[in-house]
Amino acid sequence: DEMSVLLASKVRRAGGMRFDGSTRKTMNPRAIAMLMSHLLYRRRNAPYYVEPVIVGLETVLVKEDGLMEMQTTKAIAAAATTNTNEEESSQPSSLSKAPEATIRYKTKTIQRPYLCTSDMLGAQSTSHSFVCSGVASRSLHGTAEALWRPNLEGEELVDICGRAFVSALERDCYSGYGAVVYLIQAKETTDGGNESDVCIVEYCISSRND
Amino acid sequence: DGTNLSIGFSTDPTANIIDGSSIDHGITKAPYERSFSPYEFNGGTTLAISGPDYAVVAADTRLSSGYEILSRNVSKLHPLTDRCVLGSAGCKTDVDQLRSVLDIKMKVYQHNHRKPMATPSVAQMLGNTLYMKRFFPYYSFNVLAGIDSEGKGAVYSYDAIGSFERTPFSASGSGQSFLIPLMDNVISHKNRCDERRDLPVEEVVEIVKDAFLTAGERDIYTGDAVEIKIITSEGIRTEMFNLKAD
Repeated sequence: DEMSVLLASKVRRAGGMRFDGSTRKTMNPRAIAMLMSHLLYRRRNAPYYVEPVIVGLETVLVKEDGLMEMQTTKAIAAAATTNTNEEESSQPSSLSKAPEATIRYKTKTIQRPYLCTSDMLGAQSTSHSFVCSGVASRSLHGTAEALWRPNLEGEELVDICGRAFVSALERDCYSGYGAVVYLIQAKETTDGGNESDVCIVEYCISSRND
Repeated sequence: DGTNLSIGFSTDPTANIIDGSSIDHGITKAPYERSFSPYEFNGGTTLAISGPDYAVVAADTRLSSGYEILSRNVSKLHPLTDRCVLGSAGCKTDVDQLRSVLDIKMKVYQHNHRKPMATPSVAQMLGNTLYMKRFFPYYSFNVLAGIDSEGKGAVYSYDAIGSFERTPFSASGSGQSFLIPLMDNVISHKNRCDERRDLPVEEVVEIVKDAFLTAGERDIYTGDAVEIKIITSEGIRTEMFNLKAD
């Protein structure tokens, strides 16, 4: 409880939320995860007994055709410049020409899912497929690993997530009684601007009462 | 604020200095004794599924000790009769000894009764054999799969000291917590809204392969290959399926 209050206050301050509740911008889930790790590791000697999971959509600028991000091209350009300084470089000649050539590409903003779990000291573990934590985490790893596949959308994703979750819960005596699934989706805004709206839909799953 | 670890209510000015001395790593402060443990965990996962006229049992072929792999090609499945297979994970030496004892008992039965033992009888005998070592158990987590005398598939789950039960499916070993909830959902059709249908043996074998891929991904003791035995009233058929070797 203290943890969630602490985090909420830090996020609000970082996100620039004014007292009346209106925001200037929302905080990136990656940044929230970093903040969470920091807050957890501050209490290294007397940890908070929580193992949080942070899930959200982050706004990413990508190239129109491939999914190479802006910063990756800079890294290649930097590597090319260092290689040209070496004698008898084995790099192909096209790479050494990269800093001089002008690269033109179209970019677009997408909302990419960000999944991160942390242990109680703040060590992060991210994944493109799924993350899980808690007393039934081994069971969750099993069911999620088997049922997940790439490019699941909307209701199907909720169905798979709910099935994996409830199946794992049924086999654990410490968890159960029902589940809540939150679907975080990006919807395109009607004015066609760069920011797309993120909506969160809540699904309640009822389970056996034993 | 947890950055200062206060040690009780001591007014000693050094109590607030943060260094590693207040953390007992179990070495300096409290003496401990390294004792000999007769058990070792050699890893592995076994899975058995029963059907209307078949039983499928599968086990990975990795033998490990601690973080090391001792062998990638060790079988965990042992046919006791030609209608009954025992799969065991746990401590290899106990598993091997248990098998020898069972084989001898099966031979004695065959000589006395002039017929091979039926699967429910094998199940009871295995339970009794495990309980005879109640106070120094066989470190063996068994699943028994076979065809009973009516021709239906039978799967029995055991714990280490001989408590057993006939179940629709059974998983044991290091990967059991990854597999059991999945089997609940797919084989027993729990927590699902769609129509339940009978699964043919080929589909169950595919499910078993998927299950071991899952367990192999997330469990360090499971991998290398899966040995799958399909038991029908005609006999036992064996299939091998490769997993990741990491």
